Amino acid sequence: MPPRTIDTRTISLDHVTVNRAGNDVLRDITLQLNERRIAIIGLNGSGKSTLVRLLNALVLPTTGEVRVGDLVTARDAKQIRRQVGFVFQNPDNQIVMPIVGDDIAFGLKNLGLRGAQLSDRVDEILARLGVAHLRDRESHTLSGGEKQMIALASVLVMNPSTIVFDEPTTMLDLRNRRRLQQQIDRLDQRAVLVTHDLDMIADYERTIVVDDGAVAFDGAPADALDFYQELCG
Amino acid sequence: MTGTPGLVPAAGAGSPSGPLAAIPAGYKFGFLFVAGIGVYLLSDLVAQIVVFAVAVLAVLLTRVPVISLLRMTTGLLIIVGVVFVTTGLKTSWAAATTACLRLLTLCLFAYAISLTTRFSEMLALFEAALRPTRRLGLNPEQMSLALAMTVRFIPEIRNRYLEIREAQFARGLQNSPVAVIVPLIVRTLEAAQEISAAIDARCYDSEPPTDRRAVR
Repeated sequence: MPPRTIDTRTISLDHVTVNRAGNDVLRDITLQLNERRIAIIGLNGSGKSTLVRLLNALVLPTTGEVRVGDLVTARDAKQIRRQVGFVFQNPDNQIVMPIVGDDIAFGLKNLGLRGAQLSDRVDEILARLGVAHLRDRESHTLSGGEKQMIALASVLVMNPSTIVFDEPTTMLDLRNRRRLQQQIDRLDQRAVLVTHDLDMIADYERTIVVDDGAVAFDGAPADALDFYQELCG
Repeated sequence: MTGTPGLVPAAGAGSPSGPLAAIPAGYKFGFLFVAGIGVYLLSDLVAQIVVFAVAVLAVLLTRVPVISLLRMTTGLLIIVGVVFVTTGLKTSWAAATTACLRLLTLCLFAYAISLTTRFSEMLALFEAALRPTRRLGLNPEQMSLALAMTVRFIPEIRNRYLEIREAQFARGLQNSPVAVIVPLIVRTLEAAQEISAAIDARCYDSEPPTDRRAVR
């Protein structure tokens, strides 16, 4: 595994609007994401998930532009997806292969890796997350916490410079939530975390509150949480 | 690369073991193809019994516990029993014996092969076998992924079905297939959309990879 480095590339959104079926899901969002730990919070349906899906070209802007360094999502989606990994809320939808080891290898195979190099990378990442014993297990037999770890491993193995987490703890119990949080805290990569778990983001460098398709607050977590509490009434 | 046995793996089973696991998947499936023709060319009962004994030995060589093997083959034995009785009553008991020996022999060889072949090996073989279809404009990588995902998501869809059925039972809708099927279809389609996004997010490209230096 090559040495991991913290990405210094800025992710920027420039006057981004996303329109679906005539409705603006996001409206005129302009952001520069430079920090290592960024949290995104907001009410259900506020546009948080759409916002983070813009970051690795899963959603393209209707107007405006999203850039990762020099790359533009509308033009360079494949390269951007190598830079920006994505951990989904429901790992059942993220794990696509029947066997854990094959699932971890899936993304690397897509990049052309084969043989011992591929196998070593899979072993290394599973060991790093403390789940090496799951390598030969069938994906559907894993517990929720194990599935989320495998989903994280499948993203980490690609060695992205930024990892987006879209409500990764929603389906986890307290123990697994803490385990995942520890893993996120240990990451060298930039992490962008969408969550309703406000405890998780206390130490984050920046928190963005999304409301009704727009950035309602952008600042330190403590202030953002005060704002969010008010917003929730 | 990794994987539990392919067609009838026990939940949580480990890697395939035993002497058959070391044989490449291509040879094993080639043998199964030849055996499929061969057992129907054999008409001598003694020869059929010998080949059947070899098939039993092959299954025992998988090192899967006999109890698990019996559990796996229970359904098969019931079907073969029904075939034996109906064939015996309609034709002759000798013909029924021959038909059932052939059926059992082939199924046991198939069990032995699937229990000693990793799913990833089967998938690679499937992809290799489909490679010529590229000339017809088909995409073997996509077909291979479709097969893998079918195997992956059958248990998930079953789980969703059971969850929905339980919820409808709780609402007193025991005898309403529509109340189960409609939400199942909706949830499966929603999941399909998310899975498709997940595959995109994991750099899936159905074209054969060319740039190996791309991996950082």
